[in-house]
Amino acid sequence: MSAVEALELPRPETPFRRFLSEFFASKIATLGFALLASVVAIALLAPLIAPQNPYDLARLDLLDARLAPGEDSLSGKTYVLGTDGQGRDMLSAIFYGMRVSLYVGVASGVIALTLGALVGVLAAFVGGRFEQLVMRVVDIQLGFPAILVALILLAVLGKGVDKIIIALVCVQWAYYARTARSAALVERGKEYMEAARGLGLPAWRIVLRHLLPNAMPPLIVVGTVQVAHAIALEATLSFLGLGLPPTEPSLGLLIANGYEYLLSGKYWISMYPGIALLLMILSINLVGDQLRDVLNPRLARA
Amino acid sequence: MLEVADLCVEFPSREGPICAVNGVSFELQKGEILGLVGESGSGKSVTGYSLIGLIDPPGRISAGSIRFHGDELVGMPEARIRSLRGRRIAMVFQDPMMTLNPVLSVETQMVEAVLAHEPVSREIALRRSIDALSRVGIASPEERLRQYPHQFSGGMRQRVAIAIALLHKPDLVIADEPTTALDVTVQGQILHEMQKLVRESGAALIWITHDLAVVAGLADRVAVMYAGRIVEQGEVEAVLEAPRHPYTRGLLDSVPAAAQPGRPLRPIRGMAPSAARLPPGCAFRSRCDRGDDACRALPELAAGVRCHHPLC
Amino acid sequence: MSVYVLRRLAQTLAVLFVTSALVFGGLYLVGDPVEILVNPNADQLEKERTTKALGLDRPVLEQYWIFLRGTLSGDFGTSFVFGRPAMEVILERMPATLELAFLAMVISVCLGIPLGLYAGLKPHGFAAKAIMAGSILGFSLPTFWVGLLLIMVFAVQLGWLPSTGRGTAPLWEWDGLKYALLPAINLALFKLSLIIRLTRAQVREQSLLDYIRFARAKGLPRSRVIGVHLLKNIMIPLVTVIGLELGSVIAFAIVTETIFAWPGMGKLVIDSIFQLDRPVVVAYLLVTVFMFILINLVVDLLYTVLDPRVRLADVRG
Repeated sequence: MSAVEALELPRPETPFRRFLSEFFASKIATLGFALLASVVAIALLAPLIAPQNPYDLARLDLLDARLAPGEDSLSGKTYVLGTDGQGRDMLSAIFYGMRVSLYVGVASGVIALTLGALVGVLAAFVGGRFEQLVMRVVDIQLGFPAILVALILLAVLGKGVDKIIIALVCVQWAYYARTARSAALVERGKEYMEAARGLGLPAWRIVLRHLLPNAMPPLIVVGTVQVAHAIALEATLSFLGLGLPPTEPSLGLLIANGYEYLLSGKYWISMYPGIALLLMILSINLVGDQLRDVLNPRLARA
Repeated sequence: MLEVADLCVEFPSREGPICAVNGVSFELQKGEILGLVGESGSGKSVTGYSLIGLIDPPGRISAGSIRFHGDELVGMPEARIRSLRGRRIAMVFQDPMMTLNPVLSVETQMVEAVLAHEPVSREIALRRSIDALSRVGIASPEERLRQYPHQFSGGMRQRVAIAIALLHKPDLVIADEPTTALDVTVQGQILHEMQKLVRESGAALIWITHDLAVVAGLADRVAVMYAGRIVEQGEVEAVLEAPRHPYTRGLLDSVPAAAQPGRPLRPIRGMAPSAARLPPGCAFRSRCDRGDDACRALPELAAGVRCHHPLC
Repeated sequence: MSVYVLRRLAQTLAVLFVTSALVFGGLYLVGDPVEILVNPNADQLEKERTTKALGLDRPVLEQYWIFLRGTLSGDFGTSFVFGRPAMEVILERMPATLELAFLAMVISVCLGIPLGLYAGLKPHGFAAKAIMAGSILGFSLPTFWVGLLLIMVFAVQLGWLPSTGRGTAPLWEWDGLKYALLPAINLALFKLSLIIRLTRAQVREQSLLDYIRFARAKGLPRSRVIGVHLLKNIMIPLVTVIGLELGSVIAFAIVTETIFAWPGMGKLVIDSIFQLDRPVVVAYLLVTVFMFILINLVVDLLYTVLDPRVRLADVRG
């Protein structure tokens, strides 16, 4: 009998730990993640950390309107990023704006993902004419540019946070549905599904505990891209004057409000919300990019 | 004609550099057929790629030499290697569906191979392609040329690949598991064709495979690779009838055809070590019944065997 | 083949029909256009007369039926605001939008593919990283904000290019082109980033495949391996995406046209939505939907032409 030495085995690496180490291997992605975390923190804590509540009309000082960043004000307060036409502190407006933008983007994304994934998985499982019909609808919906669909919907629905979320959900669900269906089809063909069925597990359990966890990666990747798009789309729509009412402005509306001041040199009213919007979308895209690279089996083992 | 000495090919990885090929040496004479045998991960394909200069960064040949007709290939400028590729050294790959470009016609792919090394007219290149196709046994070559790879069966595609490889009558042909993806009957045909063509043209052939049976009927000599090193090499009959390395013995015994009816199959126990975590000393130690403390040191390749306790 | 085309045409009609119905019904719920059109001081009689003249006093189904009947003879309704056939108004503005879209596509394709190719072939070089960084930025910047920025920098600060309008000169003269440049660049930025990233991803994926190795093993020069073998395989998914994106560019022109006051369909439709000029909105939708479907069809056909595996589906032994 040979003397088989116990080889020094490294600590067992769970898939999650491996995922984390691969994800943060990229400096850019880490930066993006840090940025995203800050954005989310700001959005969540806005009421607590903003120097001023920009929507409490009683607290605004009209005499302080249109001040450049850091400029001396008549009331003695220093506005770090200047003020807008109504005397609102830009910094606070941006914090609140991020909150709204993020809320709308994430809410619509989550709802669209749930709806779309349900439809997609259902279609994959039921198959037949139902699947064909559903995928046909999905294809047609995807053939329409998002902005058009959202535009018409908002023209019909009017203004309001809930209305814009509805419009964004209608625009996005098809992407999730298609991704979920492809993933479901792929998984359905795999052997572990047969094995699970061979063990007599009920369908819902198979779907929930086996299929969904494996279908999650592509959905997550699509999700990050979609949330970034949703935020950009909402900003665009607000800029055009549709969607959000002026009482709950997102960054897009702030930019729109500042538009008229651009040409007269008061750039900060439009510029800073714009930068905030850019950072928000950029951070989501950076994270989403790295997620996609890490979760993509084909590129990973080149 | 071909001398490989202490070849080492390295690939970087998260756990540090991996030596896929770890000190491989062998020689090849004109007209010889060498079978390079090993499991997946043994480094046999990588050896083949390094001979034709297709080790791409971040991988690299980190040590050793490859002398082809006396010229050193390691470190040769890319332009010179390219002029050798396809002309003096040719390669055939495993999966012909992905080897031939699916969106280009066979004619395009063959004519460009001719024109890459010889500035002849298109008509002449066309002629040569047609001749090459008929030499590998493809009927109505003029029509076939205009078709696309997906319109051929697997065996025919591989024949096309072989025809392309032999277009310039290379001195060395490297075949990387060319029949693994094919049906058994077709396998036999291709093997036979290759052997015939190579004998006719006097080229040397390195046949890379994991299947010992293939090597038995085809090759003059055989080299068995394990974990990036050659563990045994010699004349085919000698090695197959009286293997001296326990791994070779294990390979021969584990073939289901060699089993006796009613008796259990005899696989080699354990698994091949991951290239990233090669144990020091003899890499086969953990799976070997004959291993002992002496095996903690790396055995040298002596008289065609790399083992401290070769079988006799 | 012709059966296929016929089937697609039938589907097109169905989609157009459903879309027009949905939009017509939806817009009906929005508000009363008469309120906007008529002088607010006008009396009730005036309002009633306008309502009757526009046919808005009839029930919605009847209005839709009248609309449908009209389409058969090419009448898609009369614009409330302009008093002219809605389709005429739209088609009048269409060339301007198409010009812009075309220019934007040209910019994004001619820049995007070479940049993406380079980034894919030398992925670890500094240039590649810069290109990818730029593309993420281009991807993340909302179009309208870039438009504002461009105006601010190039028109206001530097005064190089005009910021609004189109001018009367055709696009191939500088006098005409200079108006189109900023909006076209604005429109192109997003697509450019998309194309760069897609091309790079494709290059990275395809470079690993065996046929590239085989082409190199044949001793082919690198320029041929990349320019013929790789490119031809990349073009297939690329053409599909580019084609589909064309439709998206036409739609996104809405934003750009608004910012740069470019006299195209997009600006018209935004104004019409706010003015509740329903016939124009419906006409716009029908035109754009039709264009998208046409583009989809062309892309599908193009795909068949480019990929011989689809074209010659039979496998002979």
